[in-house]
Amino acid sequence: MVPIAVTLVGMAFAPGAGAAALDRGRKPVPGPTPAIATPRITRTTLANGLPVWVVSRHGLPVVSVLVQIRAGSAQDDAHPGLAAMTAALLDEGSAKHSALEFAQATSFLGASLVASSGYEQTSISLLTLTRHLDAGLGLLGEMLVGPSFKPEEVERERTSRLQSLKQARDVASTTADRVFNMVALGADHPYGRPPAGTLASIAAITRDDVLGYFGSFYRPNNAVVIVVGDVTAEAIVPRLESALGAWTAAPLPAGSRDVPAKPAAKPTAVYLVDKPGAAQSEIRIGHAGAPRTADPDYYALQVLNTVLGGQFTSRVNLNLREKHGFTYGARSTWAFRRGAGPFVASSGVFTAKTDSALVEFIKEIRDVRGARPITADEVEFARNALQRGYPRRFETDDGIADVLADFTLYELPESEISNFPAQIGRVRAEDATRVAKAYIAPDRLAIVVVGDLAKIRPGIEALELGPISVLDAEGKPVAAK
Amino acid sequence: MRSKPLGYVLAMMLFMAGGLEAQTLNVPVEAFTLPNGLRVTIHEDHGAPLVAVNLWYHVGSGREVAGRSGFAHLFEHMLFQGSAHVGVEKHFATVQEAGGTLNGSTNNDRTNYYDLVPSNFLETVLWLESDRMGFLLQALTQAKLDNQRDVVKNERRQNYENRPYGMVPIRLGELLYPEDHPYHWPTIGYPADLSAASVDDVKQFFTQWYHPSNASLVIAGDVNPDEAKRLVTKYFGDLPAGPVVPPYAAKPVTFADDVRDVIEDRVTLPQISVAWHTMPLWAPDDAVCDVAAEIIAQGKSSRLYQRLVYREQTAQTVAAFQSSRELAGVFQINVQAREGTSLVKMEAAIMEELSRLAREGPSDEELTRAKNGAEARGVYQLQTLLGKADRMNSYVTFRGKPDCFNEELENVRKVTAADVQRVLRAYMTRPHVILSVVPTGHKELAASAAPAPPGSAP
Repeated sequence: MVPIAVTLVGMAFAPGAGAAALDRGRKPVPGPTPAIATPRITRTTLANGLPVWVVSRHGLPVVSVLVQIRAGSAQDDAHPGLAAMTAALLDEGSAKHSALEFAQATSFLGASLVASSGYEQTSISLLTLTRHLDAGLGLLGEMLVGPSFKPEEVERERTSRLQSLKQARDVASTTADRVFNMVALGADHPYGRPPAGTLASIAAITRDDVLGYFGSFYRPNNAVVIVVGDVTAEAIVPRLESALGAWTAAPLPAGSRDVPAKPAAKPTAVYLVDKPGAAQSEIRIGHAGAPRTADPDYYALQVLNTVLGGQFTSRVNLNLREKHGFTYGARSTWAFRRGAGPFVASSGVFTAKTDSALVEFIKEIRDVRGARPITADEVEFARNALQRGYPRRFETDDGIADVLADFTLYELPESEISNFPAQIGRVRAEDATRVAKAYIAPDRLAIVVVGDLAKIRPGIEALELGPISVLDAEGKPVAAK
Repeated sequence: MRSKPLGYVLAMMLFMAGGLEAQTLNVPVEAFTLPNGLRVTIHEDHGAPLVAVNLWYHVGSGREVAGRSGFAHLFEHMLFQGSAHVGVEKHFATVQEAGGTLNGSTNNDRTNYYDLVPSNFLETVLWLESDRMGFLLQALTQAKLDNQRDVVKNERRQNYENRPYGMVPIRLGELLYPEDHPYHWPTIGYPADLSAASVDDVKQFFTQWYHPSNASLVIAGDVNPDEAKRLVTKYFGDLPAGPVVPPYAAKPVTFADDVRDVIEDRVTLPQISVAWHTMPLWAPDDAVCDVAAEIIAQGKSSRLYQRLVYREQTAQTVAAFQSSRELAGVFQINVQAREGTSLVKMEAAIMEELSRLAREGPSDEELTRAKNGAEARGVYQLQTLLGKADRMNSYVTFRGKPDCFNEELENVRKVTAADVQRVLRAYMTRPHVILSVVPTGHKELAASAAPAPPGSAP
């Protein structure tokens, strides 16, 4: 071991000096809750109509710039994978730089400049040292104003994505997510079809499709820029004008802002995907959940999920992991989107315990609505965890930008940013139980299991949960042998 | 009013040293050691109303004894099961009800435990951490051990057995190091050894390794250093020091010949890993290897990406890194080939590009890019309290002082083109490990024999 330089400052270290013997059985009482400093936002608009939100933080010489486009895979329509492919091609060449030159210019700055698409948004994120901000913004501007989408780059990207899709089938958890979304929400639903596309859809996407998506949705009137970090609004606006001023507005395609409808849940059914030799079974259980709103239901659902499966000490993890040792971890999540994203309970469990784990999972989902109602203590615990945990979301520039991006995407009042703890504080046990009953349907679950069917199928059949289908990794029925 | 004792720098500042000179990473700390040997570092940063508590024990899987692989990590799990005064299942609950996050991790050389909580819960976390440092065994039961043994076996299934290419890190350790080397066996352990672990093993391990004189505590965030120091003394001051820790050492490993192996896995794309023995953490050429790795195969500007992924389109991904640890280091290159592509071609390309870089040296642009990247990452890593705290504990444990941010950056800044050439010639021309992963039934794709030298007949 390396010797440590010792600096003793200030006080004596004699054990118990000047104090009574420590009573370790007494849990310390926390001091007063520190004030939450929610970010102060300066809002402005560029000449082309692009809204700009700026939060100045001068602790580190770093600036985070997030351009959020209000379109993602939900706008893929007939071309699953189109939003993802378009985003991936933004940095593969512009009028000024070839693909490799662009990569070199970015990495020369030590900057991170990444485009990625989600269901309802595409984010182009720049993280740079303040002194490279101008150069970084220049590159960001090229991605939004002048990507060239050269035919050879489209083909290169297509080949790479086809390989990735094949590779994704090797990963049991990825397959489980993909198949669950298809069967729980519908293979043609904006939240059900795979954002990465299919082998057939990626093969069929043309350069014109990419240009069409880009031209339709990548518009300043369909975007927002959120700048957080070591910069002021006065300093950043002229630089954004120079980088993004040539970006022009255009009307959005009719219907493209419609909120996806919530699909009706079907009676409970089991979908199995074979993974011979798998050491674990990947389980997904759920159905369509709830949208992101500023409605009281949203906050009650946050509390409900904290009790059910949102953190380590939640019911499903304490049961499946800490009581039974079936898994390394079990959880439940709600994807709150403009429409109702999936509610899903998920875990990877030991192959030999697959049926037992399903029983416990479904019991927890059912019991939280009635047999084992949410208690006042559980609600207090959850409220504390959520309220006190809220400031962690504002620790970094990127974290702040993400919070703000959500608020603009879901068109929530800005006051909700600081109201979150108060809203959570209003949730009572009866509210959590009410939303559990309203939003969880234990007789209408899609149950997906990806595992070694030769070993797990008999046990699952014996549970008689519902009709069983066997699917392939693409969610297509497998002919009975 | 809060007084500021001389020598404290209250806000974390970072300034530019003028002109073209690069940034200095100024992370003010105060360090002291309790009489029982606990090393303590306090870093004040009021950027958010949060505090990170990060505690390292200088013990990892490298200290495990024969037949007990995976024990240091299984033991880490036992530390979350409650201690004498905290109570069963109350450790996690206490931190989560405080709005905090927490976790721990184990590697070959050390085990860390960390919490991020609102700053008014600092005392609560110190109460928790000191209770499990001093009073774990009173709360230990056979049932808890059996449960966490099952959990850890599931962790192994999830992160290794059921994950494509998941057995690669385990196999590489076995191939790179002889059986008696501390890095030979995996941190996650072998299932039979996990089954054999007993309550007595837990007691013995705790007594030997988990005490103040083998630990280092970092507190970073919205704290008053005087108050933090008072609380550390209150909760840790009366814990006994513990036995003297025996030396931790290993002889350098060299190979007479290349070591080749093939894993058949349920994967679509073949993957090759090539690994050379290099040097441990903080050895003089450690940073040179970092720079070489970046130039060879990190990101779209790297040589192997441009050649294999972009131009030839025979590979899906490339990666390179210098993984330097306390006792030894490894320089590794991984290439995932396109479906059906022979790894023999990938190995040849890797060796050609390494030779070219050794022969011609990096361009000024490549060298500057690597340095700019290191500088930017040096600043980015200061964005989170947990990130800073863990880094400081790494410095305390392996370098003997908490603030080596600038030293680490300076080690990269001073790398020259000649250094890169020298290190590649010295290390990457030696016998090494070549591990192929191929789709089950496709051993013909493996790099199972040395590629023909360039220019010879195919």
